[in-house]
Amino acid sequence: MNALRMATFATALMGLAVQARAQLSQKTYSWEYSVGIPVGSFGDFIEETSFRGVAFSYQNPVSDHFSFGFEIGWNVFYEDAGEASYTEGSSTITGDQFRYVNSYPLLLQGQYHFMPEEPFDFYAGLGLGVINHVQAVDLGLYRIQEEAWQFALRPEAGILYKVKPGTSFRFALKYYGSFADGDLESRSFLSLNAGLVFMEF
Amino acid sequence: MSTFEAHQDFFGRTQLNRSALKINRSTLVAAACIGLASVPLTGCYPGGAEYVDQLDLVYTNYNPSFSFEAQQTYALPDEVIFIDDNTRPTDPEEYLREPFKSTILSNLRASMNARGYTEVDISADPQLILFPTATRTVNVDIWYGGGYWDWWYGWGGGWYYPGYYPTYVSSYETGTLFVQMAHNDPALDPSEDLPVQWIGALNGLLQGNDSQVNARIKSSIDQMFSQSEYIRR
Repeated sequence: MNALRMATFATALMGLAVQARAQLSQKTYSWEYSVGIPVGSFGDFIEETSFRGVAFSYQNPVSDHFSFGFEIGWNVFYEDAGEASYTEGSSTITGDQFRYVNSYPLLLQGQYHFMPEEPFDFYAGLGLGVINHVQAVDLGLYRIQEEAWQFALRPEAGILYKVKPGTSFRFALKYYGSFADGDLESRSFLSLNAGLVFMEF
Repeated sequence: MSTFEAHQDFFGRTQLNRSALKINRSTLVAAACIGLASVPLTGCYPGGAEYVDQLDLVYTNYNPSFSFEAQQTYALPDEVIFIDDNTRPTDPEEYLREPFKSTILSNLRASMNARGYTEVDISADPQLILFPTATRTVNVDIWYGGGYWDWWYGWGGGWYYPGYYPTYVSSYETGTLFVQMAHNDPALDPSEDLPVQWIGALNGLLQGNDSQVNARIKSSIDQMFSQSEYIRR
């Protein structure tokens, strides 16, 4: 009996091993809806979660499990910060503030797929590039606008669910680590993405 | 520019050339990239102000080396000068109409009295003089309009701002109330410029009925003083 169980277990392991040897063989491109959550100093500036976001990515397989490509995106963050006073030197200004950040990630990325031929394909990825942040603060009838290109590192974990040949759903959690430059504090954010991946490119 | 290439198969059915489809998918991707890349040119700015008073701004600035607590008396005029786009420096003075004039003057008076200063007539040589000016104009230098006060105070000089810089206001369809607090320094020669030691400005849209505008003026003057705690005896 024990031998039978051992054989069954070994067969199952072999099956997994065979599946694991399956290759990434197709180029993919995907459109994703993105929900952004500001963190760190960005969270201090805008607390509200953003439900305005989109990302496009393209991946090219370079080995059995690894693909390389790029991602471009757009996330819009907004908050009504209410009335507040701001002092700089001897001057003070008081008014209602409306804060905006339009973030545009431009990243090169690699993804490692654990089960590329399975209906559920888990993957982990890392993106490297820049994020263009356009920050605006509306105060009274005036807009104070700043723009910065920040170096960005973006780890990602996700799952692809194949709904039919050539098409998958993607669900992903991404962290856009955006490093402060001289003009703007760090504008890092988390994003929850859902979208469609198309293959047979 | 790519196009779909079609041919008929053996049975006469129209077939699309697969390579042509491939080119077009690439074009779609390129178009998507270009489309997203062009987004920064416009950006997205949802939400924003819903009510007129959410566009009101209160600005103050002062000379940090001036001793407000060392002053005791102040004077306030009977009128608020009014300037709009059509006003020329050589034109006769215009005054702000009621009820706004009284709202401005009574609230300035109440704020100064609450800070411990005593109002005196302009002829009694006050240490501080407040010059309120209301504007409805497109572009305004905040130091503009000093000449309008010459008739009232009889001062021969202009303005200057010791130790700080006032702001420059550019506006549209808006009204701005400037309050300039000058130090009537007895050591100054009448031909010298009068030092403005504090300025307060309210800027906002000129919309609403009289009572609504009055309420906004009152709360903004209160805000001018509450963010200027250094004005105190």
